[in-house]
Amino acid sequence: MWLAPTAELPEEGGVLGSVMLDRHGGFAMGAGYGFGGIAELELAIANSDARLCDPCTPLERSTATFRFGAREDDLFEGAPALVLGVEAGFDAHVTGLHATEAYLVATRHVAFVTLHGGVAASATGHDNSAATTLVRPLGGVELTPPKFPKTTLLADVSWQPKFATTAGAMTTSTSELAFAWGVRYQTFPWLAVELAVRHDASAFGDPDVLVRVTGQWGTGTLRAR
Amino acid sequence: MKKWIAIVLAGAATHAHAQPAAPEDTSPPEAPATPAPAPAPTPQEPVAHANVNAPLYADASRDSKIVYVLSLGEPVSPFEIVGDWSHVKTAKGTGWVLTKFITDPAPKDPYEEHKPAAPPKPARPPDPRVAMPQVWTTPTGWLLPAAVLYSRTGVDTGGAVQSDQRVGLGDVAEFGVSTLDQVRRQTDAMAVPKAIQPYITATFRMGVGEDRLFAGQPGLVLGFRKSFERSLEDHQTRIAELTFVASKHLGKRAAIHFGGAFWDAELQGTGTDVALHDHTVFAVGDQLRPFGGIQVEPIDHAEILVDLGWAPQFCYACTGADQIKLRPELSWGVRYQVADWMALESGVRVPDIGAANLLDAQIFGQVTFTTWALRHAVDDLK
Repeated sequence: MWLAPTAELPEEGGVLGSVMLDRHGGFAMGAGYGFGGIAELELAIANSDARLCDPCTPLERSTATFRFGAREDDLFEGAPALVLGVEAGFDAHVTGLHATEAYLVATRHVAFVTLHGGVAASATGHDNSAATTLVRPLGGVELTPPKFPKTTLLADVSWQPKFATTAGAMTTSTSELAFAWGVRYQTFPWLAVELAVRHDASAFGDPDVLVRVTGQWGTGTLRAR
Repeated sequence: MKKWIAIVLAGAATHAHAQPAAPEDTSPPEAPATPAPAPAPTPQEPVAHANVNAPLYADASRDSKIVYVLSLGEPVSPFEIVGDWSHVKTAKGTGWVLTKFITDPAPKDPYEEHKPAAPPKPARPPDPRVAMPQVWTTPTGWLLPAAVLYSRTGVDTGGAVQSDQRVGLGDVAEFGVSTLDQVRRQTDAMAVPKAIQPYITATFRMGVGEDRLFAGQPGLVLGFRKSFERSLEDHQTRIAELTFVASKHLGKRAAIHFGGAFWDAELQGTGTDVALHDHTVFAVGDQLRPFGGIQVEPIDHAEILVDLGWAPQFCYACTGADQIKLRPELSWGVRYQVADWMALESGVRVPDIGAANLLDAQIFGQVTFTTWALRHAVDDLK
């Protein structure tokens, strides 16, 4: 989703790509690859999630995320999809800012509703201070009206990294609540366009509007048949 | 009656005299009959072509009669070669021509047809899947097959590049060279540990494969790994590790690895010279560590692997036994067999799980290649 991860994994050899822009000039780009249908590695660069305060400005981060788990009904009949994921930045040795998140999320389709829920442990810090670790819930819901099978209404809630400075020196790091809601239109089976509104807890009255294009393709396998 | 006979006879005589005389043949005398032209070469017969306007002789000699002159490009069918001469068949007959005046003079060897065909080479069976000699950071009790080459290269979010190159030796040993990023150093006890990289090591392992000695026997491998001396920040470090590991398949989709390691490490610098084998500072127990891993294949060609190993961590400004520590490292991830010779791997590595510091977690991606090419080349030479 936009803020919270889901337990949906790409198919074996599947490639995912997404590009997002918001009205404040924020952006996010990501690419992912499916490992055998049970795992995913995603690389992303974004300045729309983490922020450096005060005053708050977008903080550009490059991250890698490894996710693996089981699909719906794999473990037992009625079991939700379960994914364990870890997201880490790989420019911390340059910026000195660290933010890592580990999460466990479950996804279950119920009629035309899809529910996502989980828990995340977020650790933030910088080279000159101890890490701050917070455990927070996360979740989201998707609604695909049967009359409009290509259209999905979405809403999710999560926590995003936030670093604070005092007189130019790094002092604190934490995570901030964020909420997003919007619409996804499945233009083609392999391409979707999404439009959403995002609210951050510290700027709830000044929401951000964002648009995202997501694609998914299969790459097959080189394995001898 | 006599009158009718006379009329008939007169008519016959008249008819005889009335036959027009055969026209006088004024044409030149006919040439001597030429032998019937031989049939043109059939599509199944080898065909050559005259590459010049070459004389076709009656015999394999320039002194013999010329049958006729072959035109440039005229097809001929050679069926015999004697010295410099080819006996050919053309559309106009047979004769002898100097072999150099025709292209592709390859007459069919009558004996070639009856030669028994060489037995076809047996098809090479498909190469078996290679059991990997390494989980993530810990070794397995499986060795590479003889002459099989193994290469693994990866990067992680800590900015490190790891590489591991190995070759199997005679199905009972393997040799490899690798670069690590697991060895870390701190300037003092409060500083954030950072990887020393690249850290180059050489490895030799030998052992026995599964079920070789008795049914149910796990794969057993004794391995030794040693680093080249590494200089960084006015300090020199070295490591060495002796391992003994057993690996056993549990059914077709799972395997377990378990072993023990005996470590040694040395730190030298200004005012510092300490090693793990210095038993005035460290106990023998400080050098011994267990390690292990499991791998499960829930879906064909996709394995989940988890392992727990150890890695040395040096502290420049610490004292006593705090200068060199072995820290536990937990790794988990997925290996996806994209092709028989290539696997993509990705996962998470926590360099010091004992510190429970989530910020230390690194995400890695790596690609592994295995090839039997050298083994096939050696077998073909035999």
